[in-house]
Amino acid sequence: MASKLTKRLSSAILNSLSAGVVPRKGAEHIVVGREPEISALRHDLESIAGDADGGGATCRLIVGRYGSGKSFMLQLLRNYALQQNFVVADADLSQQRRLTGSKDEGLATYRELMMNMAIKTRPDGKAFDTVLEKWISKVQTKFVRAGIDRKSRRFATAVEQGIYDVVDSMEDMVHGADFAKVIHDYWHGHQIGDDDQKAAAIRWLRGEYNSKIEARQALGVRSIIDDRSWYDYVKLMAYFVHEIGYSGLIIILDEAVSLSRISHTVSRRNNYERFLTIFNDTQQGGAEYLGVYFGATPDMVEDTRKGLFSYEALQTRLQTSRFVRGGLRDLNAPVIRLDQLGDDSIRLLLQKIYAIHAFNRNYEPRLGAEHFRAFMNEVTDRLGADSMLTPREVAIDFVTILNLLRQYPDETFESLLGMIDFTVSADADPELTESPYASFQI
Amino acid sequence: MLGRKSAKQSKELLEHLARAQSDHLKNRFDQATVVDEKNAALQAAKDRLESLLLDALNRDSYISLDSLKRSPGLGAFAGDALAIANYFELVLDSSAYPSGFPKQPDITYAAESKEIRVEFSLPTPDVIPDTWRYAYDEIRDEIFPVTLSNKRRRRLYASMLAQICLRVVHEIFIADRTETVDRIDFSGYANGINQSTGQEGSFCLVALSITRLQFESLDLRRVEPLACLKGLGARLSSKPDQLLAVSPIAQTDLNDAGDGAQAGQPASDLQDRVEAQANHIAEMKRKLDAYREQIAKLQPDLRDTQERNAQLQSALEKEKNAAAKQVEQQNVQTTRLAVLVTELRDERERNAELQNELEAAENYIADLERLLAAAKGDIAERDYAASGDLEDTQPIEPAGETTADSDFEGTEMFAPITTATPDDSAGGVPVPPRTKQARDAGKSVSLRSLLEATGAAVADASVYDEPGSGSTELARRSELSQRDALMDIVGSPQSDSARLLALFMDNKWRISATALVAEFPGEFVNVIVDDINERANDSISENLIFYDFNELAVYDDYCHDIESIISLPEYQTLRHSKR
Repeated sequence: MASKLTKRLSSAILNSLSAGVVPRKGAEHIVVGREPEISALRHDLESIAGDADGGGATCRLIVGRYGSGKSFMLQLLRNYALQQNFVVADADLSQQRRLTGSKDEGLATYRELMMNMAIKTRPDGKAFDTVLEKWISKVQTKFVRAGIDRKSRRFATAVEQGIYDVVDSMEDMVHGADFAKVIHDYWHGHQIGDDDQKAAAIRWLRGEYNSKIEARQALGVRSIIDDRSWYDYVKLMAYFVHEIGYSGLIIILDEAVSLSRISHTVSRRNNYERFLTIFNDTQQGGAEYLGVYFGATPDMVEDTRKGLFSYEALQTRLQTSRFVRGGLRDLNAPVIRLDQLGDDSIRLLLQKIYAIHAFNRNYEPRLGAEHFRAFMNEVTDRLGADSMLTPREVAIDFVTILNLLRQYPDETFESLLGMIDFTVSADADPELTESPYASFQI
Repeated sequence: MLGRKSAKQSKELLEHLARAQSDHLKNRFDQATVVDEKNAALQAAKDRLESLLLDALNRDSYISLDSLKRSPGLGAFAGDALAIANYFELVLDSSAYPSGFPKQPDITYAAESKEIRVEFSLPTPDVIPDTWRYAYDEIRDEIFPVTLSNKRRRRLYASMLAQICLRVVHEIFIADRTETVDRIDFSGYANGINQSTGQEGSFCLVALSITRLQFESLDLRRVEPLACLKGLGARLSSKPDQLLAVSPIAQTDLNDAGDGAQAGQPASDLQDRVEAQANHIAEMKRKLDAYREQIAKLQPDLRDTQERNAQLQSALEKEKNAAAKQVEQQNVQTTRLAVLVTELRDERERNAELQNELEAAENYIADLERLLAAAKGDIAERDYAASGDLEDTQPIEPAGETTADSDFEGTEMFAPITTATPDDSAGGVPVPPRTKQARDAGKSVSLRSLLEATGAAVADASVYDEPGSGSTELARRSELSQRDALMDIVGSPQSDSARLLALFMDNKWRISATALVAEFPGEFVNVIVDDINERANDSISENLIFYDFNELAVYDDYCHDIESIISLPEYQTLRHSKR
């Protein structure tokens, strides 16, 4: 469902575009030319949400060069998932946030995910408390509607039973007993009005206890969420959110390229092994109601020295099938490669941006098809544009022109087009400059 | 034969050797004795130089003061500066110094301040022997002198000067048994050639000013002379051996201090000074005359300037008067203008009131028309629904009953709550006229229509148009009143959502999370907010309440409409209970 375009939203979109970042909201208003990918992702969401027999799980890599729209696709996925009643948690991987690490880098990722947990009505994150509260409130409402008096003893027993029904089903899973115990503690804390116990439970679920002793004193559980176990808890969380009424849990990890930049070989390999665990788990049915999406660069995947392909187990799983050739694309494969946008798509993008700009600044759109064509010619006719042009740069330039046009009413679109110098900046593609080794083809 | 001869020879040789050795030993002994004697003599000379102060201390006074006092005529001297000066010169003269020491003390006495000035001739550095000690060189069989290093020489000389200075001070104070002297200003001069300038002259190498009190606190037997001088704040040349001078104790003070001190000055000096003064006075007189002439010349100029100033003054006065008149006139005009402006403002206000009334009337008509259209559309839709698949249509509930109570089973809990029926707004609720601004703020736009306006390929735009939420629906929504949608969101007057929004209204649409929790004890505030936002998402496609750090706030666009809803009579109880 497309969100309504308001002044506030259009301002946010334009600001994000002119800064070269993906709009957090309203990405669907400017999406162009990614129909196959979008439909593949939508299909993913459907299969994760599953049916009465159970849910699915998936792990995907969105691969593209810098500025090609990886983050945009992930943002779009996030918005779609939120609209379809998913719980979405996203985080950017970095040197401090990995899949695993000797200094709890994996746990740091988990904490960030829990911090950024979002639902439709709380798209900015921090929805974890709300999710739990909504669930308990829902259980209570169910029994109120069944005609049980809120203040009666029977009501408390009934609600407790309702809570148990959910958490009991999780006890069979790995770490399920502890998870269930903490969830129950949260409910109990709420029942007796003990805010400390509630806070302790939330803290435990967010992975913020550093020692088992501390957790045991506060909650009486014998384990904590740590660097080794956090993915198990993500799986539990996915199951849990489904049980309490959401479609499932979508985990989005952008900037996966930082994993390939880990200089310590053993550490890097450990991270790839954890990646393999996640990959296998989701593809083999070990997890339910869970989608894990990574944003990565081609380098990070295909480099046989430092990339995912340096780990043979992953290479055989991720590499493109030999039958895929000559413009064919297998969008069910775990790796979705984002091609460069065609000229038509970019032109459509410009038109959409123009429409949003006109709406935001309250003026009648006057530019015609020939203006967009002229701009496109100006952008694509330069040296190296066919291989390096990214939507990000085009959008920044275009929004700049539109702003200038409003700012200086005497200038025409054509005159401004001549004034702005479109050049392929050297740092537009860090891969070309930052790559520690050149690749050769014979 | 041969053996006897050689034995004799060797015996002779041995004897010769023994003799030679004994000669040598004797010679060495002699030389050593000579060296010792010479060194002893040197040492004695050095000791004398180094114990100048101790010598004086051991001897008490060369002239028995008693004998002085007893001597006739001393009483007549008492109080006579010249006599006292002479007395102390006598004392210092009688002090025994090693040979080569000049003894020419020049003493001046100031009776009033009981100060004595001593200018003392010091020995030149030549009195220090060049030879430090003598040594005997066995190989060359000679006695040679070891010269004194410059550093040692300088130190020895400085020490000697310090001792002389202290000795003089000691001798004077010791000799002064009647306490005639309270302070001694000592300046020691040495004659010679300054090595840096090549000039021959008399150079002050040590200068000390000491009071009797200071002197009595010293134990001279135990002091180290140089350190003692330093402690007394004396000036001692840093390179006395090179005759580097320090400034002596100022002379003028003492000369002016007492008449008696000038007794020793020759009359010709006074004569000179009188002449010099006379010359100076004559000079000053000449200068005075010159100034007078200059003043006489400048006098006419001054008069001119004064006249001109007077003229300017009068001109200024005239201008001031003129300006004051102008200001008065302006004030009058301003008052008139102010009256006019007030009249104009009144006129405008009347106009604005009329305008508002007109606008309100227009709005009311427009709203009525819109409601009519909506009712028509709804009737058409119902007809369509009735003819098509009925199972998709949700039963329409009156706005008053749409609360958070939704069905728990399955995912229906999150199902959107449908918008209010037109019956609700058209029938029950009178629509108050709304401002243009509020309508514009909530106005949404159909992207498709915008794209059409830009001439874009509309077919491509279908990418983001979901079935059921396409541009047609957006367009239909934009036509629907935002206020009706908000009525749904606010809910019945008894609902938590209405209570929450009323609370927002009372707090200028922004409340801290903790304050909210306090207002709803035992309930989940997050859940109430979430319910409101969920309904808002369904009807106005975005959240109504947003989290801003630790605060919650309502988007500005909707505040006005919510306020008008809560102002309705049904919500009266809520309002009264709140305020």
